[in-house]
Amino acid sequence: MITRIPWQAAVWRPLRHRPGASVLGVIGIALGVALGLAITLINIQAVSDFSAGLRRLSGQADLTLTAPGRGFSQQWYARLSLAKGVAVAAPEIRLQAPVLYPTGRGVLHILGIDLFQATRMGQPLVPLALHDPLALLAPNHIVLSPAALSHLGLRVGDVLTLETEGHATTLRIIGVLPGVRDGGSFGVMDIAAVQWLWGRLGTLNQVDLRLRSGESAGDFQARWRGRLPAGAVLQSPAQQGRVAADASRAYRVNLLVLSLVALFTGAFLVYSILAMGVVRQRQQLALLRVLGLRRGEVVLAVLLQGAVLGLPGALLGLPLGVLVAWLALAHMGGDLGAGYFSTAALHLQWHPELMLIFFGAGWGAALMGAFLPAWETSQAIPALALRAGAEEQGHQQRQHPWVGLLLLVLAVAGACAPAIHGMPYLAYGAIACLLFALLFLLAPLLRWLTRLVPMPHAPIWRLTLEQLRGSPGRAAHSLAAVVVAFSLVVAMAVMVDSFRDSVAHWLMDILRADLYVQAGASGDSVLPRGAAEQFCGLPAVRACSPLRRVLLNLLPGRPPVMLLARGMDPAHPGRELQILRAAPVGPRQPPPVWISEILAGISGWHAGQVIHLPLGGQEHAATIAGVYRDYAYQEGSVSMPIQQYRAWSGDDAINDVALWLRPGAVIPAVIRDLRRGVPEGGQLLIATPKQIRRKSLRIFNQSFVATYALEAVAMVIGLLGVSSGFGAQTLMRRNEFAMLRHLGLRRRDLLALLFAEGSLLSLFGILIGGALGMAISLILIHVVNPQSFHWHMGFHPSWRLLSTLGILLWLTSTATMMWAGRRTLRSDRTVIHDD
Amino acid sequence: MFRAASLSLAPADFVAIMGESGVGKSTLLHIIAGLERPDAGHMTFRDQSLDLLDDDARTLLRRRHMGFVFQAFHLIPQLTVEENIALPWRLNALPRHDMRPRIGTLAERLGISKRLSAWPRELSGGEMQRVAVARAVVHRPALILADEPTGSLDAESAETVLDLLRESGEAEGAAILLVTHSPTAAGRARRRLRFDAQGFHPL
Repeated sequence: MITRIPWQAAVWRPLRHRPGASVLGVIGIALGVALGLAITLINIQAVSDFSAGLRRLSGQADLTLTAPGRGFSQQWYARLSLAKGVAVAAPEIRLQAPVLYPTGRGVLHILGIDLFQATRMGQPLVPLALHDPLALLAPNHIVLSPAALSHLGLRVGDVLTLETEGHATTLRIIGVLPGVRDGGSFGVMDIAAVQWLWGRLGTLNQVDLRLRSGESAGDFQARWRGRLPAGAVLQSPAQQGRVAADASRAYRVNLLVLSLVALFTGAFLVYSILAMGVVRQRQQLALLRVLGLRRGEVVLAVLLQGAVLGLPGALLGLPLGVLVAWLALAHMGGDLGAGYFSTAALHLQWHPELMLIFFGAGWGAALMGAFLPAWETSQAIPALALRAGAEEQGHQQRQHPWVGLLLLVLAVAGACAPAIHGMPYLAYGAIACLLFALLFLLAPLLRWLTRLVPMPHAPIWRLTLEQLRGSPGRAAHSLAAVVVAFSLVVAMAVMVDSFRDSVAHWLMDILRADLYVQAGASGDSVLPRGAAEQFCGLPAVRACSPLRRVLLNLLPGRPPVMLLARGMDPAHPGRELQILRAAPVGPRQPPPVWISEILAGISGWHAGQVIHLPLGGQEHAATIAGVYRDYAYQEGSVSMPIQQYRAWSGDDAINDVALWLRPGAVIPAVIRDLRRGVPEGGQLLIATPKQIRRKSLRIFNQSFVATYALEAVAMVIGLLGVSSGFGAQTLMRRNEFAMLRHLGLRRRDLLALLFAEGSLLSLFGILIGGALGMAISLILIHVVNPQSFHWHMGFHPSWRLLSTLGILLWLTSTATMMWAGRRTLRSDRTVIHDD
Repeated sequence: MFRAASLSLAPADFVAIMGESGVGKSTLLHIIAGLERPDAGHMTFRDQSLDLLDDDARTLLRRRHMGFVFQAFHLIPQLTVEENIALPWRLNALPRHDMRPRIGTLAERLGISKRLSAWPRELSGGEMQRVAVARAVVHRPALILADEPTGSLDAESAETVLDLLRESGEAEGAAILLVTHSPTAAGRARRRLRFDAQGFHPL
């Protein structure tokens, strides 16, 4: 039980005595909590919105049969409607259509429903609120969601032109969809109209089933297992939601860990402030021990100091986090620009349990930061701590390099360990071990670095170096937070650069044609029949390669995989793909296909293995002839020769064509000829490899905006640590400075001394932080990334960026130290006090 | 450092110990206070053997029954004079309603009653040591350990502090163990001992 006076003497007054440092600690924790909470809120919102969207679309369905892309035969609807145990069945078809009018509005998701069956199913999307609901049956009528209306800038009664199979079709907007408060931007039409207009007669993407009472969904699924159309899955809406959540889990967990970086740096800031604080309080705490405060009570007192900083920090961070989440959702969307969730605009919801968790995390981080100073203070011998020079002893005391070395060994072990449930938890543990090792190794490292520097002749610099050599512990306290922040910034920068460089190289390698023609903005758009042959026949075209993209359900419990059927030579797959591993396929083996390394990682398939592809309503055996690099499809992809695809699927549609031009061909003229060659040729997306690369890298950069923001905040928190640490240090050394004044140093000499110390310390901090960051980046690149996302990248740090960051930090850190030092020396104290 | 040192203190006793620097006078005080353990030998306080107590128990014993005066005062700069004096009272959770009258009486006796709301930085050396004396006796300890309490004071202030220390000891019935280099200060004690590596020798 701690009494009132120790609370004042050992907790509250010391913090109040250093208001600047205490406020910085509060800010550090508040920023950490705010960012962590904001990113988690955005994640939860995006996933819950996805699930809510599924529920909206599926109405009261118990089970849903779905297949992506071209879907399955409509006969399955009839078969399931008549199946035992089914009360109601409602068919659906889904596609994306490029918007021709109003122009420049991208694509619109279209949902074709059977109005009568959907009504029986209780789908909230059924536009019963219309004056005449049956008007939806007209083939040129469409009902839009409020988000779609707003996105297109149209009103009810206006017309909308969509591209349908290479033609322009004008539809009238006859109403607004009910039951869609937020999110989805899409339109609903009659299913027959959609099938007719988009050439999808006889096919469906989904059948919703409501079962009779007493019929179990599990039993029904078991009964139909193995009897479903190839590539289709029968799932409950909850199972569909779980698949979606699982698919983005690695992304979300990584983002969450990244968001905790700021909180982690905040904990180091609290450590820095309290470590410095307890050194200053060393004599007072020793006195309290002499007067009867027990060892445990001293630990509690310092922990309470951490708690006092953490409490307002965590409380402040909550509303700040909600505000950041709200702003991010309003401006960047649920995936912060990364492309995992397609919902346009999300609305923030109240999550009290999450608030509580982050409040606890913030408070816990502050306590964690306080623990080491508390423990070390309690180890001090009161009789010794009461003597003069006790502060320096306090700095020297906390050096346990063996603990740091042990943590390094643990870090290596964690980095070599496999993933747990598909997540790199042990690799994250390895990174944490590396960062904690810094606490114990920073002072010895600083001592070692200072010994590497030759002793200069200039007296100020000589004095500085002697000081640093003699008291590395003191410098370590000031530097801890900024070294951690810089190491994390370096790690992130190296990872993002390596990824960017790998993507750039990959794009350079696979985009070998001169021009790429895509049917439309939508991934579903196909070229008009015969258009590909027409393009290939142009005089300026030397060779061409068609591409067909189809989504396939290949793995149970996972989202669909992209099948890429291309004009490729099976004997030379390296001309089209960046092959990583290959296996020979004998003439008696099933035909070859190639899978991306992501699909190989997710499925566990390997080169030489035989798999089955659900095409044309049947399962077709194929041999995996190799594994290739593909950064485009996060759920993986399968590549195969288009001739084989056509033979198996009967589908001869084409989405894209790659063109190789004859020498001397003028690209603008070729593009003009290409557009003239087909109706609605203006809708074709035609790009050179350079344009595609530029656009891809722009999207890439956008998707890392959140990362950059987090890095910036971590750096600011780190600099707060430098400011508070160096300021406190200068304050503690006032007697030393006064003594130097007695010895004849001018005020400007003292400032020069501060500059020398600040710049040298910053330089050492950057070197140590940079090395630590490189080590962390190696774990991120070679362990975390493959274990999370199943793809690899090279180690390509941008030395220019790192040098720029280093110089920037050196300048800001030195300036911060100078500012903190000048502020402390402002009083121009020249009298030495022994007390 | 030293061996064969044997010393007994009775209530209201006032013993001065003198000796050369480095002989271990302060260490002796630390051993008596339970802050350090001797390599050999025994320390008994109020019929309790300190050797058998763990750190927490020794701390509680110190908290309740001992008071300290240091050469460097060791006042807590963030606490007012009154709060500094009240520290042992509050640490021992003594009745709150008795605290202010007790501090008032002590402050009156020590001549610092007008400085109770001042901060340590506003006091002279002599005033700071009076505050330290008040803090040492406020909770009526059985033993007051004074380590060079006059080392930082001028002759006049030193006289006053020693008078106050003795008066307070007598008034509260506390034994005082004074470690000093000053023969004048030692002259105030009832018993004077010289301390060296072989132990205590009467002066």
